[in-house]
Amino acid sequence: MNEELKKELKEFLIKELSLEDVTVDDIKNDERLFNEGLGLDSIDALELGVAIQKKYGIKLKGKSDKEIKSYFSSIDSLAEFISRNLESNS
Amino acid sequence: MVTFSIKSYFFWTPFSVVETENNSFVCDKSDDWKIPALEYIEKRNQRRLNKLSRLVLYSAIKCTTPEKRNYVTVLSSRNGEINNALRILQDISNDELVSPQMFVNSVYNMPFAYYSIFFGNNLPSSAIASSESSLGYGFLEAVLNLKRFPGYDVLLTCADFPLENELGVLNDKSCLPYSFSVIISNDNYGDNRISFDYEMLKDGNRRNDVPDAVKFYYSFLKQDKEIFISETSDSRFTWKKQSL
Repeated sequence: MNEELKKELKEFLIKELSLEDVTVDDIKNDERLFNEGLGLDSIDALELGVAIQKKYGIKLKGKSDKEIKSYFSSIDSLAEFISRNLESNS
Repeated sequence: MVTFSIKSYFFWTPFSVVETENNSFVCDKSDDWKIPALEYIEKRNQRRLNKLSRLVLYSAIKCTTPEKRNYVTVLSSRNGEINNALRILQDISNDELVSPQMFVNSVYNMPFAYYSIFFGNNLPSSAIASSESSLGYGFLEAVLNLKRFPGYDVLLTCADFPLENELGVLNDKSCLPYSFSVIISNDNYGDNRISFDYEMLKDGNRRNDVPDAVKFYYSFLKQDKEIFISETSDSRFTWKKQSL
């Protein structure tokens, strides 16, 4: 998996969600982003969805809640979702 | 005319303000400033706060004590969150998605909504804007709340940022960042008894050097001056120190 994209996503998360006390090194690739783990919540999920659409042009409209939860569960799953969509769009 | 006591107050601006001989004010503005760190709110809870909320909370926390944060609250801000409101409108007009967080923070009474959440304040809250008369109308709202909710003190916070980006051209000379909080009460409280009066005008005279809240703090609260008058084209507010 693209390590560069994962690092970029961590930086993106920290910036977009104003995680002032968190560094890239604090976020593990397989760590859960929501609830336990990084402790993000539902407002963060909305913010993240909008930010991803703006930055990568990837729309979540039409995806089921279950699918979105699985994409957003960790940096690994998010990177996989984004790279797959970027490839299919190119 | 109504009377009330001032129990506590706190004022902050990043710049030094000096009153000159002719009762006007000068301020050494610069772009290099930041809002001081907030106490009593966990870091992780601060990350969603926008600039106005940080500014309001800063003086509100300094004006109150950890033992008592429960107050009827009034926010008075000339510009409020109009900087962010414009960004939201620009996103909408560009057919872009609106940031949910920015939308939440664009609600006018959000700073004291955060205050209520962080400190468990369960008393009524209101927010107003009235251009250059925002201090006067803020006091008017606060005084009305003293009457509406007898037995409760009122925390009034006046805070503002200059307008930014495209809106910056609308800034007049008096725009500067500041936050002023005051707790007013119906209780007799030492020498801090104040009378307050309001009248409507047709041809008022306004001197735009610094915001009224800045003058009120430097000229009235910090000095021995007995009277402070704020006048705009359509209203005059008068505060007078009462001898006991």
